[in-house]
Amino acid sequence: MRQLAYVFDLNKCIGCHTCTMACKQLWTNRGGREYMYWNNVETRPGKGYPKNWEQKGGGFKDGVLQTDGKIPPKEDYGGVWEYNLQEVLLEGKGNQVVPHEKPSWGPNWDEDEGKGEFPNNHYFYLPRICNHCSNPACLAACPRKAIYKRPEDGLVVVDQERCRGYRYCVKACPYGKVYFNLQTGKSEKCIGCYPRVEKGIPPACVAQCVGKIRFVGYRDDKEGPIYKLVEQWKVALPLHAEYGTQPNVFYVPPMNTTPPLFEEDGRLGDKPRIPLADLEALFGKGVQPALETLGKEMAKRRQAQPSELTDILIGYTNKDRYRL
Amino acid sequence: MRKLAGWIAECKALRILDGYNNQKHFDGFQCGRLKILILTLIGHHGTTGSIDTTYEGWRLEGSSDMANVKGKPGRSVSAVLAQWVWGEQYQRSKAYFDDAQLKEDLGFGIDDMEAMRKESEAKGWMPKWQSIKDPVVSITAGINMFATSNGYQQLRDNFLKRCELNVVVDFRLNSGAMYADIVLPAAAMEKLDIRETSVTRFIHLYGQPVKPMYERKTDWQICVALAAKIQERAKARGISRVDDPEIKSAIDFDKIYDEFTMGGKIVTDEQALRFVMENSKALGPGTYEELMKKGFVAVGPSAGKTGPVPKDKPYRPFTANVTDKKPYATLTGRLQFYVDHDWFMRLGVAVPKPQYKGGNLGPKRYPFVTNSPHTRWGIHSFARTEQWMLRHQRGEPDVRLNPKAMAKKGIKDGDMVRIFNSSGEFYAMAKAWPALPENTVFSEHGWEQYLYKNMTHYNFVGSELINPLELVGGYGHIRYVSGAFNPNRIFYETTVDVEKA
Repeated sequence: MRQLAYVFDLNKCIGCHTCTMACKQLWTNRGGREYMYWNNVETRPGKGYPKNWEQKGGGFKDGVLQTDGKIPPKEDYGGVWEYNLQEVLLEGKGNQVVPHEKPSWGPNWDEDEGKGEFPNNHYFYLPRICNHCSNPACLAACPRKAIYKRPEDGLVVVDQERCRGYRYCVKACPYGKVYFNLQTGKSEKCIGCYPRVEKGIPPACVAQCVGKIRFVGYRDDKEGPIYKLVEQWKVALPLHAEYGTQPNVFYVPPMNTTPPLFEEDGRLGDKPRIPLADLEALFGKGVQPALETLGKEMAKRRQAQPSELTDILIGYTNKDRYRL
Repeated sequence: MRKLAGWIAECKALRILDGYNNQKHFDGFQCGRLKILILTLIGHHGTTGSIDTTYEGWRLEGSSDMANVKGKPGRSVSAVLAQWVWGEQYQRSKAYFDDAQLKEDLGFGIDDMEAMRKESEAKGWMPKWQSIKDPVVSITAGINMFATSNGYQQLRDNFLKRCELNVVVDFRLNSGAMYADIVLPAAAMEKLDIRETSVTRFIHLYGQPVKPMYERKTDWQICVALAAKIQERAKARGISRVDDPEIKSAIDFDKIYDEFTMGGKIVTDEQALRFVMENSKALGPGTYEELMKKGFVAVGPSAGKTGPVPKDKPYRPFTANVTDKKPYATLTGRLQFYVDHDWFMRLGVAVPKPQYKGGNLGPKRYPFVTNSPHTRWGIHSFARTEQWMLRHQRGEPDVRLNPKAMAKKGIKDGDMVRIFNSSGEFYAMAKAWPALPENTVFSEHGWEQYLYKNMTHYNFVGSELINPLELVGGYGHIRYVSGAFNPNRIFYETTVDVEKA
């Protein structure tokens, strides 16, 4: 089976959410999906979407499927606010445009908060989609065998005919990326835009990315950016590999390009702004060597020497970033 | 600071790009002069680097040819001065600022500032239209002028008192339209709209995914139709020339359409865009077709106002003066840091240096300073009411505060807070943001008034100051030029207090 995979370069993500809007426009603006963000961008450190998904459980431990996963309550996905623009602006009712319910949580509620105190605070953006895992917990959990990996590209999809809405998949996915549609009574998730991929067009979230942070291609394509970044240069790492699902979305961890921490006397110190431990908690022990490689290659460019790695990461044209 | 200075000193090339925020602080003007001094001292000015502003724009003669009628200069005013006078902002600033504190910090108070404003107008340094006429008829397109000004409610009330007919052109109901007598429906997407800024050498075509619905028209078509109707009515009523002695010009109302469309040559959007492009040296014949085909077109060398735009190298302003030794358009013809104008001498800034010791000029009895830079959730107010965007924020207007400052005030994340000073108040949801210093109240800009509780707005608390140095004229290069040298709107010298609502 060929496996389609993604690399997201977090050093290029500006947190604009255009990926989210592209996905929403194409797939989740209707039919009970309004609360779903198959693609979302969350601030790290932070609670994420759905809220506290890292504590929801699921995945595998020592190769064994965990059955203690939780179904996130609706409020953890955040408000789906509708506004009385029509009444206030066109019908003259009331004098304030307001959401239909008092907002208390949203998919991006803790944006830019991160951790630390001014001026030594830090945060970065983490865009997330379904990881289209090689060992999907959702697939393993489904008693109906409604979830399968497409043989041609390894994308994980839910057969809407077979699904009976038992929601074992929602519990099992440790990333909180399977959703229950209350209107249809079935589970749904990111489909990797397979109708686009079949035509050789990258997924909507990838194509619309303003920062061009997203690379897409097949794991076994040795000439492609995925193989080069993941296997050859080892700068792209899976998110929470310890969940045991073998994700196929890889992240280039954030370099500390912002100033290092300020010392008490106001001088710049030498400690990284984002603690290494925080990054390792997300991307594992590969972070340090990845950052060292990135640092070395970037230093080469500053000396006006060539670097294959930075060229790949810049990804000058669509052909360089997408190989479908 | 030392580190930054080190980086600046060591770098091989340096281009400083000033955005809009610089001038929103009182010391923005002096900072601008100092940046040029730094570039000059380290040898990057006009060679390996330079200073530029995001709003400089390219030299496109076609647009000025289209905008002006030969022999009849148009009237240009400083929006800040117009809004100061029509909005009666003097009274508001007088009531708000601590005059003794201002005098200690700056050497002058609000009354002195107002006297200097009047002196500048009397000497003809700055346009004085605002002191001669009221805005009897106002047409604004795509903007809520009250929201973009300090002292929103003060300007609104006093402007509308003076205005008999307020027309707003927009494609949606912005909060400015609430105060309009007539709203003209604009096309949401203009097929032949192009954008240029000197941040990039490319001119882009906007395109039109959706055709205008109902009676919507492009801004150009609205102007053409207004001109046609005014000419028709002027002829019917026998009105022709109205003189404007102050600027030695006139408007011929019975020929206004003919002049606006250059004798019927530029009526359609395509004709107008073609005219601008084909009559600009940096573009020229064939570029319209190229733009339509590719969606963008690069400007030629003559687009740079102070130096050529080289084909294969980065554009550096001021190379014309430094490399090619063309005299600067300054009083002395040199890069002039010393300005011996009376006011510059009096205020102690004959050479570039800060006008005061730093800190904030707002009254000290309010512990927080306001900051309201450009939003990431819209283009100014456009899309700020879009529900997908709102769902990614707090669902309603928010203000960000440092968590320690919130704790001291007993404010929790998500609480409704009241932000206030003697000028006004507004309400918003508090959001914790550790990236802020403890004394800052941060609101993204562009919020519509009708999203706030009690129809307030973040600019209800904003106070207005005018830097007298920006009122100076009659000194070589230091003279009024629309969009280049005139008073800036100084937003960030406002202090406020915050409490749980």
